[in-house]
Amino acid sequence: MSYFTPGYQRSIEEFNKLPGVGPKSAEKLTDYFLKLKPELFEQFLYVLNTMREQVHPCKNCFNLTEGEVCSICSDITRNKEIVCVVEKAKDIAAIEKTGSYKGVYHVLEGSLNPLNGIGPESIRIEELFERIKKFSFKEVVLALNFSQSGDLTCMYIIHQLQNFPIKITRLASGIPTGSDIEFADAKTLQAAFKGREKIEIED
Amino acid sequence: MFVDHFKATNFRCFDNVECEFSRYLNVVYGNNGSGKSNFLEAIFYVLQGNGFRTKKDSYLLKYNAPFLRTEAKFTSQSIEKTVSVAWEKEAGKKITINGRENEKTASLFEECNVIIMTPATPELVKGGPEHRRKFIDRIHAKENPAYLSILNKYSITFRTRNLLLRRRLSNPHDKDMYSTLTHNIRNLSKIIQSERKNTIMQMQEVFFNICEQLNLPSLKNIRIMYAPSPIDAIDEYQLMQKEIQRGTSLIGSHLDRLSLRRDSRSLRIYGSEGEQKITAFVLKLCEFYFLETRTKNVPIVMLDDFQSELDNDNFNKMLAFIRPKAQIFLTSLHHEVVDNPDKVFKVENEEVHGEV
Repeated sequence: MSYFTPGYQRSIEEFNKLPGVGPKSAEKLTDYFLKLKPELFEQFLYVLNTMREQVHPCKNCFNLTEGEVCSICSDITRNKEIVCVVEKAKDIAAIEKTGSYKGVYHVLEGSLNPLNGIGPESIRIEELFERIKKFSFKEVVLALNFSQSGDLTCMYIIHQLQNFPIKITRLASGIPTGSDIEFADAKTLQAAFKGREKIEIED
Repeated sequence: MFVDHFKATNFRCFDNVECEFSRYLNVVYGNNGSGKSNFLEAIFYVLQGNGFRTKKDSYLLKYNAPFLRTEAKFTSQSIEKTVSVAWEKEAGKKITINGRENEKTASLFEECNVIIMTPATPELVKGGPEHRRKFIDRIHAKENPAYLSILNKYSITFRTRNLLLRRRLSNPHDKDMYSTLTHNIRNLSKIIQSERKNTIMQMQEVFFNICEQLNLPSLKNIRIMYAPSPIDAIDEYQLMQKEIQRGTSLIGSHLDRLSLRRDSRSLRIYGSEGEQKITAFVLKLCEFYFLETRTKNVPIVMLDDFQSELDNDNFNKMLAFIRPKAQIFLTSLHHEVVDNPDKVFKVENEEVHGEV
């Protein structure tokens, strides 16, 4: 039984649909918007509307942009011979923060999970193969999550590109920087051992 | 490891149960249908995150109750810990270990060592090879938790591949996906088969030693035979056609054959009922030995109606093998089933009472 008015309850239910928002947070948000000054509420709606109208995927890489192509694709200083494949546009921001990658990107907008009905036709994987065929990439970096669906997507891409003269790499997995080995779980440690590197001693 | 304190709410036939256990032999007795196995299953549930007779949590819920909850205080490698497993229809399962919420069943599997022997245990010998594969995999996963993730990956690859085969690779990208999954299933099978082979070799030696210790000469020449399913050198096109026709994966380690043989004759077919039972229970003792020595965490042993499956001599021999080392829960119709039990519990009228 609901203790709220129908309009209030509907608002709670809508907020509850947002990712990471539970029933309690949905109530707080509803309450916040109910008490928000009208001009601030209008501004909030305007910002959301503008964002919906203007932000869309880049026609090349499917990163988010407000123009035809994103700032990374239009940057002439970027290395166009290397493409980094990510699951979400948000992953690009995380990689860009490192400052260690200067190539271009390709956003898949998801990862393969046929058991949940997500096959290659549901994500931007064909577009990736088209780009690879069309442009002379020398390396594909797979920066996909280390999950079951991320692994499957990597395997699929590797398999489909096996006859292309292109270098395929995947980000290393292992112990996070600044963390203690004693707290690492067995799977992470095993991956770290598997991906251990030879240390070159310089003269 | 030992469970010292245990509590359950709305579990099967019980409203509320709370018990302090002995760290040695606990006997649980009561009439047929009184709920002895339910009580054992409740303890198993809090330590492993699922029942031993069903994997469905809803089946464990007391009729018309809104939720079930089990909690225990246990000591593992001299460290006291707490665990709780609760389930309700809307929220699902919630596992808390030492105050850490939202833990997974796999964490419980790593944390707690439990061995269960029930009247269904002889299926290990009498049943199909899947029982034996699961048995070997479980033991190896205890020693090497990363193996559990390999098995999970295999299971998902296998299910995905079967899904594509059932729809006869009819979607536009299905053939490409099938080819990737075939590659995957081969790679994972190679790892699984190599791990199984090593574990079985060690298991054979342990089996032989336990038969010596228990003075079971008739079992000493039983061999654990492993025949990995061939995963290479099969014509790809023929394989695909055959698999589409059958709608299931016909390559992979899920087809490995694992049998127990005496003089090259299968114990499953030619063994007597008694031989099959004793062999199955000796295999469980091997599991006990593996867990005790490899994880350095002596398993808790649950024996559900164990004595009804064995003659007195074998029952006493097997109990003597584990009794000095492990905490044991033994269900029986009568409390005088063993000499000097350390604690006795009577199950009656959907309640459990400790007796001195």
